[in-house]
Amino acid sequence: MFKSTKFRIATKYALSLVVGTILALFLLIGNDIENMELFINIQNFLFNHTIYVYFLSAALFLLPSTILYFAGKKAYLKMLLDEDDLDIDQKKKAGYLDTSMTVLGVFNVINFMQYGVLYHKTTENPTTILILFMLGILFTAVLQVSIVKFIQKNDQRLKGDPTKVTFNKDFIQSMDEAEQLKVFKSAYKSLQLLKTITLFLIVISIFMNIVAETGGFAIVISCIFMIAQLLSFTYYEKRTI
Amino acid sequence: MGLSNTLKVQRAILGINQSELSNLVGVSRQTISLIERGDYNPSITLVLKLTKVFGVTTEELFHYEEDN
Repeated sequence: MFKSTKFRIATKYALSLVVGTILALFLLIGNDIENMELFINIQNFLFNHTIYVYFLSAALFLLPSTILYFAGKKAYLKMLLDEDDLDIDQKKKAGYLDTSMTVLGVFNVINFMQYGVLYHKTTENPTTILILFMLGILFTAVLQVSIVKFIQKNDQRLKGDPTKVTFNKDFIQSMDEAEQLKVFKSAYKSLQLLKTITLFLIVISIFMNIVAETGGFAIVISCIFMIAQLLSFTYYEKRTI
Repeated sequence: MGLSNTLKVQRAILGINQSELSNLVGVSRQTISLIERGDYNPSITLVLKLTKVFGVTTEELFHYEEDN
């Protein structure tokens, strides 16, 4: 057993050495990347067309989430009225509501990212951009609350007010055992995936700092996030029976 | 083989659908469907609730077979 473990450790270290050497050579040879101009041009383009970026992201995220919301509601009601055993296809369609929630959540993050990254001293219409940003948040919130209220109306077991801070705790506690298990399993799997993604982000931000002098802030934030993930898991593991 | 059950049969005997059974034991309809398909093993609490609803013993409702 230990032989294969040692072999895997040795292989991973050797692979990391090779990748690191290639990256280091790349940095030594191409420190002055001419293509950085391309990134600067893209950035300037986005600064000058911020409003269009907002409308594009709204079309890409808010429109599908709204369509999924109405389709999901229809399928959910049909599933409730059907007295036969649950049809897998019906169940998948009713899951459109979950997908709509996810898309809205992603849009919310992108909305904040757009505002934070694209807001610039030379922005032509700062008020319009602020209004679009706030409208995006409002739309997302209204649709998310509507989805939760709709599900709660049709399933009286599920509790929690989506406008309250304790919503997540109340909602999960009101779920049945199978639903809770599904949530906990998914949460654990996503934690493991997040650890890998965060490590990747740390490496990328270090690389970008060396190559493009983007600053150490992104590195610090990524590292703090990773530490928070590790500590929070240990903390809750010790508290949970 | 694992855990198998006669939930569907018992439902048919009692003349109730998944939705009605889920309301009686306080779980979602999806959970009843998962149990019937063998995709979820219920807790002892839920098993006892189900046996009470059907008026049968645990062994009549759930059957465990060792994997060879």
